[in-house]
Amino acid sequence: MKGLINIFLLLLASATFMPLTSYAEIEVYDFKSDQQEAQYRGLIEEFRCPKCQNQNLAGSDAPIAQDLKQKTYDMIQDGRTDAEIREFMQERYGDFISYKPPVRPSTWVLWFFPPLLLILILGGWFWRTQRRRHRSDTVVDTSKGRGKLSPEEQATLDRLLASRTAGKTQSHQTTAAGQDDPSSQSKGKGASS
Amino acid sequence: MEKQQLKLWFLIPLIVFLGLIVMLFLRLGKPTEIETNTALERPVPSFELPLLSDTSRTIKTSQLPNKPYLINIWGSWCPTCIVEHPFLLELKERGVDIVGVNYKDEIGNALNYLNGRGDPYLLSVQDESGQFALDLGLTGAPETFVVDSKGVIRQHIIGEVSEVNWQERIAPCMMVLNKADSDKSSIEEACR
Repeated sequence: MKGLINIFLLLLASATFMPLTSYAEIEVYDFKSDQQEAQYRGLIEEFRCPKCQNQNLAGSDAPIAQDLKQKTYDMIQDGRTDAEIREFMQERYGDFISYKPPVRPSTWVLWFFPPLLLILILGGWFWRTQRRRHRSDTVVDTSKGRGKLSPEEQATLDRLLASRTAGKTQSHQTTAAGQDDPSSQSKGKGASS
Repeated sequence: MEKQQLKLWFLIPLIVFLGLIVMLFLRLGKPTEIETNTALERPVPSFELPLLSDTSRTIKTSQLPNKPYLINIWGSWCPTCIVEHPFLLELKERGVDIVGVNYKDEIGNALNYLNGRGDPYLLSVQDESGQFALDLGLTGAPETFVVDSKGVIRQHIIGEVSEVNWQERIAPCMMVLNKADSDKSSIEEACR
């Protein structure tokens, strides 16, 4: 029973104090400078663990990941550059080792397809809006088209508009008059419709 | 005209979706693990490692067998190595030379392991730091490398060696390597 409670508390604690990024057990490495430490952090974030395939070295406790971290640390202490360390890793584990693959013809599609797609989409969108604007310019503007109706048409339109306005005022009057009496109000509504 | 064009635009998500379905369907059941095989077609990396049974003596690359053999990376801490061990003993019976590399292990545990379970290795070296394994492009234990008579690595087996992958992959490769007159293309064909 006590064991169960302990397990429960442990689960609770681990759920409560869950870190945002997962890190493997704390390694104690001493660095000569902050810059070297930053270099180390950057590299172990970038390199992928060959054993546990969707983790970087920083997040992995596999023996091979520990060795690769140690190796990275040793090479940094030797004053090697990022490029040299990357080359060392790539020679042994191929492009797979890095989450940041090198730019070369076989990886062009990886690097250049997304920006190309963005350009295509933006271009397509721009082209479409341009075309639509052009088209809306050519459409007849009806607000200025009043004079283009023939005299008969104009007369019909005026008559229709006049009768509609008359009807509206009439219905308005009916409702206003019968406002005190609910029954006449409903009658008035019926008349107006 | 306008309406048809609009319909085409609305079809685009469907087309993308169908494309995705086809792509994912073609990947169904395929292995998702990526096997790194940078060690292939290269000579065994040079090393100087202590002999497991007597760590005061060192073994160099030049002392490796000059006929086709296997390099097996193992550790007493590795459960899959225990699973694979009886088959390695059987391979020894069948006359296959195996060089054992004891990987990141306590020497006492390693010797107990071999004394208790039998020693399938022609030669055992100790790679305590894991440096030699790194040069091989190791991802974990156990892993096995098939090496030809010139010391060039021809096959990299990740995980255990068993009767199944021995028959399917390793034995055909070893057979070609053991033939004196094998040309390059037949080696590549058999050792894929």
